[in-house]
Amino acid sequence: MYALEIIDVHARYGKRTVLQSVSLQVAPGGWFCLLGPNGVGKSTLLQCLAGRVTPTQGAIRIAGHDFTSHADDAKRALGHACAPDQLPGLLTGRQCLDIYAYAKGLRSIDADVLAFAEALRFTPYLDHYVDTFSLGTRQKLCVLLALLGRPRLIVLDEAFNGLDPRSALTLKRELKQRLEDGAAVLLATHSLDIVEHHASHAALMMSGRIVHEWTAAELGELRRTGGDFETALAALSEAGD
Amino acid sequence: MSARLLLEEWRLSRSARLRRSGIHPGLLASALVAACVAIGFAMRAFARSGTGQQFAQACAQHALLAGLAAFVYALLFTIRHSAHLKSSYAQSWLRSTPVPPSSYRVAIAARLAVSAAATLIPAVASMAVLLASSGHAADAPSVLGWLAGSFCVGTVAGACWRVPEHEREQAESRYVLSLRPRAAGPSLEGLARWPIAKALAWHRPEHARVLFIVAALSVPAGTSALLGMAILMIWSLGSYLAAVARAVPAVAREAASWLRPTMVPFGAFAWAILRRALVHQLIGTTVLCAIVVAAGLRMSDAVYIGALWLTLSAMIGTIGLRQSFLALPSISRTLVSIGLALAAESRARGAGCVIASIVTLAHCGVWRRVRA
Repeated sequence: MYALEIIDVHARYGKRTVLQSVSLQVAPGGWFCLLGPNGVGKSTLLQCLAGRVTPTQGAIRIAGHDFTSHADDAKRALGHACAPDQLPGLLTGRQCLDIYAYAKGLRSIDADVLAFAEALRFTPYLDHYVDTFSLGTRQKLCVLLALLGRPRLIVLDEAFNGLDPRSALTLKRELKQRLEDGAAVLLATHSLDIVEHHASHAALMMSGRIVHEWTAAELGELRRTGGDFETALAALSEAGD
Repeated sequence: MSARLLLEEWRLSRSARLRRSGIHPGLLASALVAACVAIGFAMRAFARSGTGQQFAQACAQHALLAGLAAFVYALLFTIRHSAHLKSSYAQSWLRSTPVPPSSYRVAIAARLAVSAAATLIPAVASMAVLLASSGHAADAPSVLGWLAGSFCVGTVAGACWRVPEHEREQAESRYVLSLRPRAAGPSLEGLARWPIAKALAWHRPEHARVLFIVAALSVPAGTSALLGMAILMIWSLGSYLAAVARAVPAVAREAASWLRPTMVPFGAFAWAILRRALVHQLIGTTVLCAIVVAAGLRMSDAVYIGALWLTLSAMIGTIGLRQSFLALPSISRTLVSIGLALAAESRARGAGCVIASIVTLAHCGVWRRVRA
């Protein structure tokens, strides 16, 4: 059973079609990176997973649960990191964690999330208001919210943006640990070093479609041969344009 | 030279803010002149009333006391304003430029002088009109001298006042109340505070100042001090209750979007957001009713208006909550419902409350509905 199955998903904003027949699968333990220029539909696809955008066609299954007919079960298995500007500015970090934990049906905030907050050096900010946070600090809170309740699918949108190198490394280690425990990660990113060093699968999106996918074997081959992923990606992007 | 640059930057940002608000400088100047003339006439009318005569006489007899009050006001105002200016210049986007600290000090002094003049000139002019119109023209030089002199001394003292380092720290957020001890486990308690924090943010002095000017001008000439206070309190409390009613749908929209990837049920979500707002509405409406009864309205009318407001605010809140939870727009439904309730109310007394209650209950009927 896949941690995430996206089957022939179409989505539009008004009359503008932003996703056209997008299909992908992420297996448990897989780290899937979604690549592509700005405005090609990566974030919209992730918004579909969060339930903020309703696909006009197609199906989404999270841990085997259909996102439309079994929304609660699907959401229970989902850890979605919202965009930093979507965090409520008038609440404190701790209040955000409390509300999110309650909304996910947890009896307490996971000890490992609090330990990870400490590792990210976020603990001193727990009782500060979100509107006083820097981008990086907001980003840390978004990731912490996504990790609550040990989700089987972790969805991150540009989660490394604004993080200092030490925190970024800590997050990569945490995600690796989660992958070993059977979770899966879907990350929309422009950071090619993550694709080159950590991803098990990657896909390039152009104009609302997935135009190329790299399998684990292809990524492994690139790593072994020291292939230039950046050049390959640029060539594919130009061909897609 | 650099101080002039800082002042020019301040002037430009002020005029840009006016432009962005759509206020034409000519219109603003005309409004200011009209306000001055209106205040002048109001002061003249006040001076001829019994209370005005007594006030002018008291000022003439106790010029020293008036000066002391002006000194204390100027001192406290300038200390606060000076700390704010220092803090804002410390965060200024020009901080990375080679502007010497002395220029910041000069710019702060100039801005404090402008603020002091903006308070002092109208106060002195009003007092002059009051004294002249109440037959105490002979006492005017000493009263105005004490007033202006003490105010200037207070301003200089406030500008020179050094705020201790530990008190200079800014609050984490200007928008919210201080924290109380939190619940033991995860809860939606934070959601309950959110509409209140939002209403308070909307009600900050820089946002509410226009309302207070309107409130002050709405007090009729010749009104007793008690009634004047009651009118001001009605404006102030009424606007707060309106802000809370408006904050509930606004918070519902933001919170629903933020919590969309979770399985939070509608009942818990709605109750968490509505709970504290409803308590504030209930207490505020009760106080408001008591004020209007004290001001002369019949008890039955006050209770009726209070009940109508409570049902309308509950209706606005529940429509906003339900629609936001289902990711649907709420504004047109809210406006139609309010229109319907008010139309019914205009036909029969109490019908608006019934309609609002029915609409509220209809929107509570989705307790078990799950979002798509």
